[in-house]
Amino acid sequence: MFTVCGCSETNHSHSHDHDHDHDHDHSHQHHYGKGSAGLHIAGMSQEKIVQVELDILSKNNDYAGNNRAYFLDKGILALNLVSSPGSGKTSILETSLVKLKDEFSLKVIEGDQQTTQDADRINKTGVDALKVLINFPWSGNVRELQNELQRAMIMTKTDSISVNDLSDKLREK
Amino acid sequence: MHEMSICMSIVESLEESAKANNYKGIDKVWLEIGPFSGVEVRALEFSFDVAIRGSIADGAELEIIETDASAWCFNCDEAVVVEQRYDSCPKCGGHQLTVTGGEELKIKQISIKE
Repeated sequence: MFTVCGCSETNHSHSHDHDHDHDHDHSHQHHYGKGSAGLHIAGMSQEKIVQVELDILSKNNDYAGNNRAYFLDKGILALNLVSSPGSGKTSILETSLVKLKDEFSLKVIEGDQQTTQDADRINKTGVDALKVLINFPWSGNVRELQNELQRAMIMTKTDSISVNDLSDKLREK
Repeated sequence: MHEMSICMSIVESLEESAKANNYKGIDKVWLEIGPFSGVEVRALEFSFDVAIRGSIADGAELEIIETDASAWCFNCDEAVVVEQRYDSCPKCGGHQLTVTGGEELKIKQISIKE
């Protein structure tokens, strides 16, 4: 029996798939299909519990998998530097970029949400810093940034991303 | 604070689900969270209230089901419950364990208005 129990305040520790008699030992009252008005009209608003089993990060995992495959395919080594403010991420970048820039093609995405200070420092070492990307008020999801970067990588005619390769909504900001 | 973007993903999934099934609204969401999911429950609860504003789940209640972490013990040859990574086996005290569960992060069920 899978049913609409209609309870608005429930403790759903029971399952809805039982087909035996209803000797419930839990406290709430079942009034099948009836809302607060006490009656049920077909097609009218009723509450219903639906089992969904949706993996929240499955999409992110897909994106991550695609990214890994992309990087592998293009022979790109992607490093994510994460640590406390002031611990030396940008210093490490500054030094390594200067030493490695003639040997490798290097790109840096500065993910500072607050300032362009780090981006400015990276800029001085001759690698594209994406100020526009940093200043854009991303509405909370990293996928938007991912899409933008993919777009830019397709749009660019050189091997670096310039402001002209970004979408209009970013350039207007 | 990656809990905020996780909540945005939750809202996105709910919106998709509601669109596909013609739900008029969602007033309760049950999330299943494992101890190794990397999610701070308090931060998630806070973000959830903000993330659902104006969405299909506006004002929805959140109930979090925290699951146990499980591991397989090669000594005992059976599944055991562990508290954290690198724990020893609660039965034999051995360290030949491999974590088998606890990374869950999913929407278990929802209460919908049709």
